[in-house]
Amino acid sequence: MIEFDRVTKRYDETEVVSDVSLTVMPHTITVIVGTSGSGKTTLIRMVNRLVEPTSGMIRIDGEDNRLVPEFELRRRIGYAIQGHGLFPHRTVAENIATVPTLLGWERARIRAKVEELLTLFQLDPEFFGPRYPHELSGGQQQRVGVARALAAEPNLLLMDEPFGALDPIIRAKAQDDLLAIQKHFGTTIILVTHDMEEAFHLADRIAVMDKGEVVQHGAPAEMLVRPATPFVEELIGATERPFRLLAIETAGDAVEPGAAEGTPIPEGLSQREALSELLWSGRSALPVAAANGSILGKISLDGLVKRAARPR
Amino acid sequence: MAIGVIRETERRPLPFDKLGVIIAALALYGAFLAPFATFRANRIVQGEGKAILEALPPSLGYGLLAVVMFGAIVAVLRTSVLVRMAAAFVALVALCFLVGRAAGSLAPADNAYARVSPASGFWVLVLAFALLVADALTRLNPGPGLRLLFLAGALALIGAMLATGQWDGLSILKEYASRAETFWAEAGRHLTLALGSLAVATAFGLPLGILCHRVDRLRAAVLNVLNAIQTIPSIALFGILIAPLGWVATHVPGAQAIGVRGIGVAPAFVALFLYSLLPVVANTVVGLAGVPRAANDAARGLGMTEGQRLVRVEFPLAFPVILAGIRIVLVQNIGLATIAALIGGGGFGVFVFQGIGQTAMDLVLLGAVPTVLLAFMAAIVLDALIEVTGPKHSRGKAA
Amino acid sequence: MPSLPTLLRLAVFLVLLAFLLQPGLFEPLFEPLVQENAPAVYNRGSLFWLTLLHLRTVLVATLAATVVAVSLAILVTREVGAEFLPLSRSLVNIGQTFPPVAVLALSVPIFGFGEKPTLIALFLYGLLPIFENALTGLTTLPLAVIEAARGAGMTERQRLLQIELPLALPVILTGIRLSVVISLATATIGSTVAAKTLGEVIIAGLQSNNLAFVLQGGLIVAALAVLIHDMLQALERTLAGRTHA
Repeated sequence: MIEFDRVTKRYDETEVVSDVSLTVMPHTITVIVGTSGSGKTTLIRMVNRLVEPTSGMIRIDGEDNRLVPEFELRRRIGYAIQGHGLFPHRTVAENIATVPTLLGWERARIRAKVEELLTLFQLDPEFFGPRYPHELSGGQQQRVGVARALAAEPNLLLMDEPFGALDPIIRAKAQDDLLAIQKHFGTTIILVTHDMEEAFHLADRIAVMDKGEVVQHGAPAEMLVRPATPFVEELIGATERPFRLLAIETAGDAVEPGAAEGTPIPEGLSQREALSELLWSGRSALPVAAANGSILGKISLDGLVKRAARPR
Repeated sequence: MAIGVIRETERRPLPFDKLGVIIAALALYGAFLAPFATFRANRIVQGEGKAILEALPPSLGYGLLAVVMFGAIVAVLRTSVLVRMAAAFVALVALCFLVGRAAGSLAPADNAYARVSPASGFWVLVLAFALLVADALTRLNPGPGLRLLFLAGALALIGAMLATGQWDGLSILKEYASRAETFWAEAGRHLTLALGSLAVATAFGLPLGILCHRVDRLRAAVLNVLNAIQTIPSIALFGILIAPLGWVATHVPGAQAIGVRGIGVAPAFVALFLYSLLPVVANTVVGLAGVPRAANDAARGLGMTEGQRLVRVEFPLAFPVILAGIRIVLVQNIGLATIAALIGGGGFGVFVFQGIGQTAMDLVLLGAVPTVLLAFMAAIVLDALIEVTGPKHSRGKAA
Repeated sequence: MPSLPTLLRLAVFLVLLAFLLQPGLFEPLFEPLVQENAPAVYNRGSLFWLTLLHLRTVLVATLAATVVAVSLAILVTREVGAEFLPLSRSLVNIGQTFPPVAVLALSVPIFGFGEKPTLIALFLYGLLPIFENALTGLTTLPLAVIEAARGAGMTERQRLLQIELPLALPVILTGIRLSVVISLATATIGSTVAAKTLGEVIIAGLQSNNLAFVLQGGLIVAALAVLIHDMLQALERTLAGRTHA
């Protein structure tokens, strides 16, 4: 659990972060959204003390994050940034091994970890391990960046616009990978982005920041239904509301009993994507399939329309 | 709570200036521990060091110490840039003025053999306050016009010191006094060598650079040859040219009439010319290559001929880079012209090498100091020119 | 299969080595350049030995300059020394306008004749390009990389040794290369203050009006400069090639 307790950061006269209090529950993904200059990046950089707050306190699992030396704190917290920041003079394997090496892990354990992570990110360890970062594509570099952040098995992962430099197709894939990996390790993730689509796709909780303040913090659905300020409403975009609502839950959550014709929809697909499939196929219902291929039931146009309506 | 308090004080900047501490330490060392002036009974004997209070009458001595101490305190404290500048300036003027007085009080004017020269303490003090001025100037970040004004002011001050005879008692000026005529003749030769070879190198190098820019195959070859010339040590190149020029002088009619000889100015001039070609040609090529393709395309689209495009678009845009090459050449030539003395080419090097030969350091200084001053002036003037002609970008505000 | 330039350099090296070890073999080549009865090949000492001394002087001065310049550059790019950064930039600019001969001449009164003033002058003059390049290298590192290093929990020292210095190394090497080439040529002037360098050969030639000597001294230095320059450049390329796409 990460608690921001009345955190303020001031540079000279300008207040970048104003009196932010926020609690992040363990094993969840919290996405902080806001326009550029809203203070969202400064806020997460205070968690691993790349920035020191002017006043207030940040507790990690109940403990003030200033109680340990900053470099020890940072080794316990994963950190992935836009443009990945891979060390250009080190191989992919050496990059991933950065924090474990700093922590003095045994060589065999480090090698095993690097292999595990590369495999998890669908990069062949034999082939990619000895490569230098500039030999990789943008998407591969980004995956290595996240792998490096996860190498020491941190409970907490901070991500600052991690997918910002990727093109849309690779970005969608990276987001799905992240969700899978979060499930796999149970890592608590705080992610900063300015992309609302990304926020709704990934978040368990969203915190909206504006001019240094958190103007709303809650579940994505709640944000759609009851935007706290006109700014939040504008950020979400009024015309996007029903689709954002559908984007939160998966097809599996909308399964109705019964059978339907057509190509089955995977249960992990978002309801928004399922709606798109339905509209494009011209059918009013499609079967939903589990990961193992068994048919769970169907998903219908009517059902989704109901779900997309403003909740009462 | 306690931790919070410590953190707050840690944040606040230190009450004193780090560079100022070094400057003050230098100043105190120079003022109290090192000799201010050296007294020698004649030109070649070992000298004895005199501290400030030994070298100057008490009133002036204590006055100088007070000025130095004041300057050191201003340097240590976090004072405004202008105050620092003023304090350093006052200290430098006092030092320059009083080192001349030290000569007068240590060696009576009627003693023609005794020599007084500034000693390590003086140089350390000058270094300390010059650092303070340099730091203040860096922080002020003055524009090119103001920099030239500062230079003119400094030169005027030195000129006034010389003209009013304040330094006449110093050994370097005694060396000058006994060879004033040769000094100006060599100065003229030095400038002829440095500036003349630059002019010829520019006249040859610009067209060659333009040609290299247009003809890819020529570029690599020319630049490689010019690069190779740069690796030949200057004294060797000067020497190597003696033979061919000697041959030209004896075999080509009229060559001798225009001053071509085996030894002397001619080989030095040619050597400096050869060294100058690389920076001129290379910077012309780089400057022209840096002209944005869009500007060239637009010029073509507007119907400019090749010649018009070169004169109106490419050349003006490449000019600052070419000027930077000329700056390199000029500063380099002023230094290298010193070597010409070794092959009878004259210049300030004559005094340097004579002085080394006679172990007369005052004579070395008579050659070295004007050379350094010239190079320094050339750098300041050309840097200002480059900035004026360069792309206009907003300058950072003075901190 | 080595490329033509590589073969050319190898040839230069072999000719240089042969000339230094068996200068007598080259006598016929230089004979047309000298007057009758004058020696065609330097005979006042071993060229090989002078070359070694020349290289030693340059090596010692460059090593010292590298250590001092890189340390200073590290210092002014840390938080402690940040106040000195702007000043040190201007000092480097000013310092490079000082002619090497003047630096040499001015260090004679302080250090006397012989090896010492030459070493000091080469050291002082060599500092500037190395310092300038080390500053450039250490202040233009990619921001994301430094940020990632901090975020990974590297201490300031680990960051410097494992990330910043290795990344700045190619640029620092460029500075060392410039410095070495200047020093190789400037060291010859050291012989005017009685330092044992290849300048002795040139000066002996100037004094006895023997063009062959001048040529020999000059060409050995030039060949050394070209070979060392290319060697260091190849090293830089190897190092930089790894880190840049």
